[in-house]
Amino acid sequence: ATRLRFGYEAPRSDSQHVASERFKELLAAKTGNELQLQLFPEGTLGNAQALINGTRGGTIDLELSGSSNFSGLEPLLNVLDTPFTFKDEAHAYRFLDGEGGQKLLDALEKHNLKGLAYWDNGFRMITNTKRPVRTPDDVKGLKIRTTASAVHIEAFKLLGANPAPMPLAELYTALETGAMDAQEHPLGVLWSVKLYEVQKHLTLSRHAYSPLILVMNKPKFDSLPPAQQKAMIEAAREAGAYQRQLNAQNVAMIVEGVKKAGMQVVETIDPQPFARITAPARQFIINKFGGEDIFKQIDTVRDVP
Amino acid sequence: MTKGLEWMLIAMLSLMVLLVFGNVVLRYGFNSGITFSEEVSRFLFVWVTFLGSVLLLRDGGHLGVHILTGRLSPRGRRACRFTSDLLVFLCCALLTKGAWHQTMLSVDNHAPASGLSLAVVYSATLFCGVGMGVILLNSMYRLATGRMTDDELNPGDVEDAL
Amino acid sequence: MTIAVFVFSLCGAMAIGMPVAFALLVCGVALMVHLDMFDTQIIAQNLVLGADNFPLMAIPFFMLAGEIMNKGGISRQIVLVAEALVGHIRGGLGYVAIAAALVIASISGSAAADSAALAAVVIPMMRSAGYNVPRSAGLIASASAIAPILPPAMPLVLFGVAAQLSITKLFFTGIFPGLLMALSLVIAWKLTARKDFADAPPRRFEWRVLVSAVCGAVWALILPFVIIGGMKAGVFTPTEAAVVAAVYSLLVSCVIYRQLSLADLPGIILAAAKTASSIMLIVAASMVSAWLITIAEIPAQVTALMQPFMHDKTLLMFVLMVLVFAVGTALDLAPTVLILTPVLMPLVKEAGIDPYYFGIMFMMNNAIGLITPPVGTVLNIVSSVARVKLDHVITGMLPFLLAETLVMFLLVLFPELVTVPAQWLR
Ligand code: NA
Ligand code: NA
Repeated sequence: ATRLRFGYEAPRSDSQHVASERFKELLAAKTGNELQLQLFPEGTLGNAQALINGTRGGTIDLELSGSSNFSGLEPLLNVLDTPFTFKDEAHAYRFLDGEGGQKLLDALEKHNLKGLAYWDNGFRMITNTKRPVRTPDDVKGLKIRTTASAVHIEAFKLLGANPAPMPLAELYTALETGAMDAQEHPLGVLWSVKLYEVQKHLTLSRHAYSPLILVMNKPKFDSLPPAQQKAMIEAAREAGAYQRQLNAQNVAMIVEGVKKAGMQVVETIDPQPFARITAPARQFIINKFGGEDIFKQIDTVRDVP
Repeated sequence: MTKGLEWMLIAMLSLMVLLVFGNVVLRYGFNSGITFSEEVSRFLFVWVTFLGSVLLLRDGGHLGVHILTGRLSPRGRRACRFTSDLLVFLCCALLTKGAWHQTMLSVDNHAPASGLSLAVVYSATLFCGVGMGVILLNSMYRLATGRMTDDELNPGDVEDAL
Repeated sequence: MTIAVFVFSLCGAMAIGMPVAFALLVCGVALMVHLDMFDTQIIAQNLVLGADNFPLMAIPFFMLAGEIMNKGGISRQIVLVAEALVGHIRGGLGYVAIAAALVIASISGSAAADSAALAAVVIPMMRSAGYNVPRSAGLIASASAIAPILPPAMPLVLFGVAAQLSITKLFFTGIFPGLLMALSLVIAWKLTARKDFADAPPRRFEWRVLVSAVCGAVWALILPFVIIGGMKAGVFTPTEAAVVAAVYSLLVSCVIYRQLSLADLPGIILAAAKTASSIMLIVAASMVSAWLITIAEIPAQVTALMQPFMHDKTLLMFVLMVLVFAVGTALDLAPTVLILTPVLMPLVKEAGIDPYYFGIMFMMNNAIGLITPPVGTVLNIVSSVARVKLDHVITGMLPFLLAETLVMFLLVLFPELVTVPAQWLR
């Protein structure tokens, strides 16, 4: 039997860990225990960048992290982070699980990574300590922590906020002390890092969708017999579907939970004004990295059932 | 050579201070910030760590425990020092190999805020492995040929910062 | 078996005098071979992972601040205030040393910088006033051990990063235990040193002297409030607080006290960068062994070994504290923190011990390790700066070491003494 090291940053309480357990079971079942995963949650093998690097170099076999962590390697992935590109989860899944998504995974191959499947981080939501966010005006002047992704920074500049990238490890303290007013993350992160303890207002802004990408060291993948390769991809996708389902179930629970913890929640906003103001971000990405055809592909599956 | 590296180290730490302090001032004074401040200062920090370590090895300043070796005869101390230098040299050789691999691997990986290639970061360990290797070869040569004085053999008590 | 490979390779490499950072690498290589997963990339990758860390940048910044404060006359001004305030009491210079140590500790993040400054300024005063010098040197060494607990503190940054805890929370948890340590020193000084300063003539308290000392030191005395207040008010994060302390002390030293000129700066920056990198290389190297410790699942094995104590938090804390104390006699603070944190934290979490409480206790223990023979950095500094034989410093220090150790075990019995004040202060 082959033991494979699989690392990710999410804590044990997260759906990523639960689904990784499922992934491990599925893989063992499909290969008659020939492939066995050894799980390393909580970033014990390093942060996302270190995990990606380790997987490329082969010191780690598989890793799972947000797509934006790969955009330094493959700039086209910036397209996925562009605000208001995906209408809803179904739209995102249609694109990612289809031809377009596969093309993006394949683009990672030249970087020694075999993209196995897209898992789910969910839509990003804005939280802050200052005021309920309902319109773009409410975002103006907020010191907001974003990822270091160029398109996230650009979008919040367009909205008139002061975006600053900062490591997730420093975020809780920065929000607690007020060095930052606001942050934007999917609900799962808000919950597992307990950011609701240091934030007052949550807006279900759904301003950008964040997929997770599950990758494997390419030479390692190529060395597997075809039947095991097939099992690997199937198990990764099935576990991914399960994780998406878990996240969908968790949304209501997390919104209830943060309300109980004292957060004010704005559940619906009109996305139109936000989308209008941040629309130039799309051209910004195209000018910088290309990807016009990918945007087109995303748009064509927008309303297909 | 050493002087030049020392000035580089001074410049890097100064730049770190400017970037981080500048960011605080901009945030409070002007409600803005330097987007690449966090990233670039972090990369400088990696370089300060590994460049500083090479210079420190030259001064014999790395922290060690000398309760046991301190009680040995000068001969025994020389033998221990040689073994230690040899093992450290081997570590540096392994480090250099791994660092070369990682540096080459990260050439095409770019940092999000500054766009710098991550090879800039990994090459710090490459520099460290090679630089320390050279220092150790020199030290082993001087030990083997009896050119190292007893004074040099006793590493001074460096003021640990903590 | 894996634990044995870990312990023996690490201790063996250190025993032949190999610097700690490299001993950690040797240990990493030994573990790789043992686990049959030799790959040189693991070394390079984790060395970078260890150093590529924003919160840890507080280390060179605190280094720099400490270096500037000592060279720029700030430490001396603080001692003058303490002297004007409590110098007239019988045995007053002892209280001066403790008070000055507290103020300096709440500015600087490092015990070494503290002890160097205090020993240089206070020992000559005590010597000429006829105090028992070894006793005085011992007091100064133990008073300097407060610096790693009292915020801002580099060791807490180191621990916070290794254990993935909020550094600000750790800082505020450390305040009260740090003050308790100071109190224990006051009591020990009063009880044991009575006969030592019988000859020292008590001096008169003079308002005029106090006012003029405070005026002279006002810029230095503001600094703790700038740092702690700035963090509490959310003006900056702990890393930024460190850089603010460095820039502030630079301004005060150059512009107000005029003890530093720009020409002194490169030397100071170089010294700070080198000392910081000596710690950071250990940090980076410990990441290599920590990574392999994780792969080898050593924490789970240690938890299994500790199973007999797991049901009783107090008993477990007691066992852990004795263990850390033993390690601390022979190993310095930074390596102890970096080697033990990844091994102990999973255990502490599983036993349900408050990680912030554990962190402060662990750090207090490590701070005491700085003054326990045979390897005690602060002891060495005090002995060399005060020009007192190491053996004499150790003998002089014993009552104070005992006092601080008692405080530590008192806090093992009554964790509320740490957790309750922390709630008020946060
Ligand atoms: Na301190
Ligand atoms: Na010690």
